[in-house]
Amino acid sequence: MLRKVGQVTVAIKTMLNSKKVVPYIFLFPFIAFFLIFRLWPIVWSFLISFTSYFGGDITFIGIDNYIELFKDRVFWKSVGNTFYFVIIYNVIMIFVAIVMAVIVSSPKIRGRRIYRSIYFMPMAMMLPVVAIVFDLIFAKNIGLISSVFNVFGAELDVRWFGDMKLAMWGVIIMRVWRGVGYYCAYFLAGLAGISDDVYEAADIDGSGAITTFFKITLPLLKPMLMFVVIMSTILSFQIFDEPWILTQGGPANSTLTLQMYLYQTSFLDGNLSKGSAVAYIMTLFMMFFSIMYVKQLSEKE
Amino acid sequence: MFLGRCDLKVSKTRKDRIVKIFIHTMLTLFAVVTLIPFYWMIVNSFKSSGDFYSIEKSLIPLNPTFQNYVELFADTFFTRWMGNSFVVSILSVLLGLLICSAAGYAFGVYNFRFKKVIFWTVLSTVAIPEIVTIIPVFDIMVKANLIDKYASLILPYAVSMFGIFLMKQYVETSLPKELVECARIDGVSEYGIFFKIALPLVKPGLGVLGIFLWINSWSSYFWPLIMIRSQEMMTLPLGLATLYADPFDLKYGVLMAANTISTIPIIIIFLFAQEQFVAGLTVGAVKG
Repeated sequence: MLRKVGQVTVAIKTMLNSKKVVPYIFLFPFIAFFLIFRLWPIVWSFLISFTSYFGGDITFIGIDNYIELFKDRVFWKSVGNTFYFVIIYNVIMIFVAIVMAVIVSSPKIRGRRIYRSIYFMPMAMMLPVVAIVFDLIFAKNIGLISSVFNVFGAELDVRWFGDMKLAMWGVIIMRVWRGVGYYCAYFLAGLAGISDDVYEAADIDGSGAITTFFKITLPLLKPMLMFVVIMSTILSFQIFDEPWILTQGGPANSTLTLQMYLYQTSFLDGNLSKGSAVAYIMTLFMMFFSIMYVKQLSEKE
Repeated sequence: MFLGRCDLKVSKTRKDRIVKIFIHTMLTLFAVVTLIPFYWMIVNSFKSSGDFYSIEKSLIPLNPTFQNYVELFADTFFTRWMGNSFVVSILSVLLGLLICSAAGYAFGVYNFRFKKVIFWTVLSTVAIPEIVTIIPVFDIMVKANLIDKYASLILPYAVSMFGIFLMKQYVETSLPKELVECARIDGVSEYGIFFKIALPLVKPGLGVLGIFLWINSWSSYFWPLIMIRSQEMMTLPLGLATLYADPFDLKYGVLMAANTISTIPIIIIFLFAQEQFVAGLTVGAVKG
């Protein structure tokens, strides 16, 4: 009897140590999490978007959620705001980040490391902190901008996040402030990959700084530029934290973004199925960029 | 002839100098703009409530005081939020590191039957943005009765697609196949090889991934907003936003004290492990 138990444990031990079984044991925790928190949710929320579901009974209603959304003006307003934000933010941010990277990587700079560290520091501020700090920068009377105006004897007494025209620009400015140094790090990595010989050749040919930039630097930086555009588009499309904390979409829905619309629909109104439909519409909008992203990742493989 | 050459040389160095001045001006300008919000945050945390409402607007505190910090610790849940943030982020990092390194190791070292299928399934779901999974995961948490508990904040963050790819790459590049073979011949078990040989070798990768996982968990606002209901269970980002949202008691001084203290741990890690910090944040997508 005892010998049998011994044999069984030995058999189990050899099995657990066999090269056919071991990889699955290593993969098991990941696969379990992947199925529960990734694959199943992706499928489930697609299916649920064709039903009416508030956390209780599920009723199939076809494409009614989608039709309702297409008829909803507020939804379209949030679509417009999101695109407006994504486009303007990315254009400004990427332009400044490239300029920053080119300048930081130019030869003969003292204290390059210090500048690089400073530019990266905004990433140390969490988004809610950024939001609150910028509210106090853009605040009426006590705000930094108000105070600076005051020092010069001028008046600017408006709270940016209470103003329909300025609120979205406030959001754009703070995102640019935080993102520029971060994406600059990507461009610096891209620039480091360009060999000095190329620049020397350009210098000997007598091409000016600006010609060199457009004819040599930019084309060689293109792969990294593509990567940054794809990644920052996907991320900025899901903008939520700062405008939600500061304005909750206001004033007059001028900062309402798609993710805020999703949050309101699914977690404040409790309509989980309609929220899922919003999520899938967002996915559709981002599809092009997401596929490019996966393509780049798989090319790295 | 001689003069001409000389002129040319002078003008070239002069041009160089102008370029140099321009570059340094730009560098400084960028640095100043970057640091202004930090300055404003810290300065305002030392302003007395009188400073905020005095007619004289100032760029420095008129009556510097620690009152805001005292009030922050005495009147709010701040220490509790900070504790929650530490618990949640440390546990998600540990869990994430274990899961990702084990899976990355499996992909990097072994050849098994469903390797390709599993790998490509995982990779293809990267194309689906996180937002799609939020509602179903919320539903799962409600049904599992995990709302307003640490687990609801830790479990969804424990698995990261980037983590898998990153660890796979580190395993492939820094763990020699011969070493694994040698260890096997010496009779080390497969798990022994993983824990005693592979993990120490991929330490730099673990550091980078650890920072990536930590910052994602530490600074997450949307997830706790959905999962957490009570003040005592909030993490820092959510707590700060709640403090800000209180219409009866909006004290910028106290808020800025809270902001300053919650930024410090990240700055410390940034200063001490700068290379890893930058690598950790640029390895995958960090919000912002």
